[in-house]
Amino acid sequence: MGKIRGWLRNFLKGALEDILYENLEREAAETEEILLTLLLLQFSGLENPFSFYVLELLPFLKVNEASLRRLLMKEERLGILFSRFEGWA
Amino acid sequence: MRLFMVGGKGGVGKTTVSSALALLLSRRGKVLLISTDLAHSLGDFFGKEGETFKAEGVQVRQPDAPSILKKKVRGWERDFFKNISPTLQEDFSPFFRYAEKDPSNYDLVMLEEVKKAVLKEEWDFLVVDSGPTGQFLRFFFLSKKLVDWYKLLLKWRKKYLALRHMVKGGNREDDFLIFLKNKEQEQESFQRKLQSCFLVWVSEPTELSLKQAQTALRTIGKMDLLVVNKIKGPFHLPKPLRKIHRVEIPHYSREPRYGSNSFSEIKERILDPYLRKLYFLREKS
Repeated sequence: MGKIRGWLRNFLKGALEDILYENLEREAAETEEILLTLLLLQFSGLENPFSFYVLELLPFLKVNEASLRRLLMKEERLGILFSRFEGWA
Repeated sequence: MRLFMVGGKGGVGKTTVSSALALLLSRRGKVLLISTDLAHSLGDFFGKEGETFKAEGVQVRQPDAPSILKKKVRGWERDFFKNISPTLQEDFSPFFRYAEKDPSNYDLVMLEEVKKAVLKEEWDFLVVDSGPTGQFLRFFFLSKKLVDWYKLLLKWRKKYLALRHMVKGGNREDDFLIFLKNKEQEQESFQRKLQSCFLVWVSEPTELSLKQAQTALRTIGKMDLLVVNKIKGPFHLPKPLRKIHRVEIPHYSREPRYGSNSFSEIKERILDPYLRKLYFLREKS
């Protein structure tokens, strides 16, 4: 009986920790995306969303590419921006 | 280090006034006179060429914003592309190409050049011969906005690192966070210097020019000296500007240039007596 109770306690603890970790991981990913959004999107006072100051910070981005790409593609506003910059490359 | 910002509408005589100020201040300490107008006119005024030159005791700098920007952007692009895949590089490339040709970035380069000179503390006086009103006002707003922006980025980076630390362990500080902290501190101390600068506004005695002076006073919230230049006769000064210390310069038939009699008169007989009254200059000499 004691063994079963112990196993059950460990099982529940593990399951709960898993959920907690999952939540934390998700929150971390979301936080990372918020940071990216703040970094990449136009902030009040700067007309150019890829201004001097944003470019200066880009080399520090070591985010996974999937999230960077997702952010760039997902954001409709940035989609519009891409069309604005067409022909500059 | 004392920062003097000289602003005004285009063509009112900012370069003349800032050059005279710089030359007078050079009698009291080391002076850097820096132009932030893309269309530099200090070289023409002093009859010299080059990005930097010396005029009497004054070090003059006219930063070439396009070439500075291009060099910086190429460096950041190289560093950024080290970390990302070639396909993503293709997506980002247009932004870099655009940014290095964007004129609004030239103003930011100028702001950075002034910031660099202010924070270096190499000079006793820094005189900024700024661009027309719009650029001048942007300097003040951008600097404040940047402090807020860095603060916001710092907050989220800290939160991200704390969450990462809980999940995977590891460091709560990284290069990015340290860089952001440094940038925020730099920007904040520059902002303090900018707020405590000695603000000189040059205006012609015309209605439009004086209206811009009023706008500048209202938006920035301060003005230490109003120079009314090219006076031909009586003029009407709007009420808010009457409280500001004022220096009046007459109209000269020949535009004052470095070495001309009119310029010496502006410098020695009009501006010098005013500068002698300034408490922080009296303390210095």
